[in-house]
Amino acid sequence: LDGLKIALEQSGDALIQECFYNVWTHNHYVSSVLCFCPNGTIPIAYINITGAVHDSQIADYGDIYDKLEMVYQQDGGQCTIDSAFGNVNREFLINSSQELIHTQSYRAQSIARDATLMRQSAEWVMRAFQLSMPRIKDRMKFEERGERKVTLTVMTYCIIYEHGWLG
Amino acid sequence: MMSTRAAETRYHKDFLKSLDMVGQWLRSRKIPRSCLQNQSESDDQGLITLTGFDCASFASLCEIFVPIFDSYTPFIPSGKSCFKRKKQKNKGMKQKIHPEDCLGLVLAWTRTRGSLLALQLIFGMTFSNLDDYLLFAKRIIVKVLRKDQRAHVRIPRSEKIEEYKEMVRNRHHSSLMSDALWMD
Repeated sequence: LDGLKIALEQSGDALIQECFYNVWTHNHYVSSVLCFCPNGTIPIAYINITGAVHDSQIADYGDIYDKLEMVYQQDGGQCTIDSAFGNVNREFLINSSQELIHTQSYRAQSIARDATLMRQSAEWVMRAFQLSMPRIKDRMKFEERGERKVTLTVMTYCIIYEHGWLG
Repeated sequence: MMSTRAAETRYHKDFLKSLDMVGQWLRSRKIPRSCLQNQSESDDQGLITLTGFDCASFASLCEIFVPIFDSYTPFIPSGKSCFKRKKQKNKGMKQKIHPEDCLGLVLAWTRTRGSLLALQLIFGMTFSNLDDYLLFAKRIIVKVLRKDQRAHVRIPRSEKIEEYKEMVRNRHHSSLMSDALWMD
């Protein structure tokens, strides 16, 4: 699971502005959480959430954990996560936190190292996603006529379509 | 300490070196002269640089885009949906651009940043006209891709999941990672 933050213009309304303001990075965002398969395709996505919401909460709201649990129960697949999802302890999630690499157990170290390697390749996919659509790195206009949703959907669908076609 | 920009360049070079000749040629981010001088000639390199799609995938996207483009018009009163009313034959304002241009416009828009000035130069349109068609194309593309199976966000089938698990097993030999399927 990886979070994607897209910068957004500041709203004139203080209450709306507060919803999109991320205190950690001191900026206004629209957040999304994407899940990647090893071949770079996107099986689960939850997009267009206000920037004040944490990635882990977005995954919760978007039923991403439930979907991953369903896959784990049906096919035994697990998912590697980073420190943003560190407080979630479920058997279908593998934490790739740096702290685990320094544990005493060789087995735990080995797993943590492999999990970090897998998670790193997800970062590359996210980077490829941003590189193939540079517009995503631009600051989006603040509009409330559905423009934001259309823009995000265009980008996500185009990427998925492209991946699906090439794959 | 290496700067981010330098690290990106290094990784990009490593990535390009790992590709074959055709892969490198397609991702060189250049528009060849043949593409500019003879626009009827299909050229993957130029089209990928401008839109991110090769000729085959652009044509497949165009197939589902054209019927909607021909059925509706971007010239509607402000605040109304462009899909509210179907276009009547031989009535109303004539479309100034072809559907291929309109699709190319929206895909090129995703590949650029900042103002629409560069797109105005590429497509030879005034700002207001280009903005209307861009909004129209964005709405069409969302409409058509929502219904297209190839663009659906869905959990893969069990066979595909087994394939992914095998990929992970081959790469990571740690015993507990044997079932790891997805990545952060």
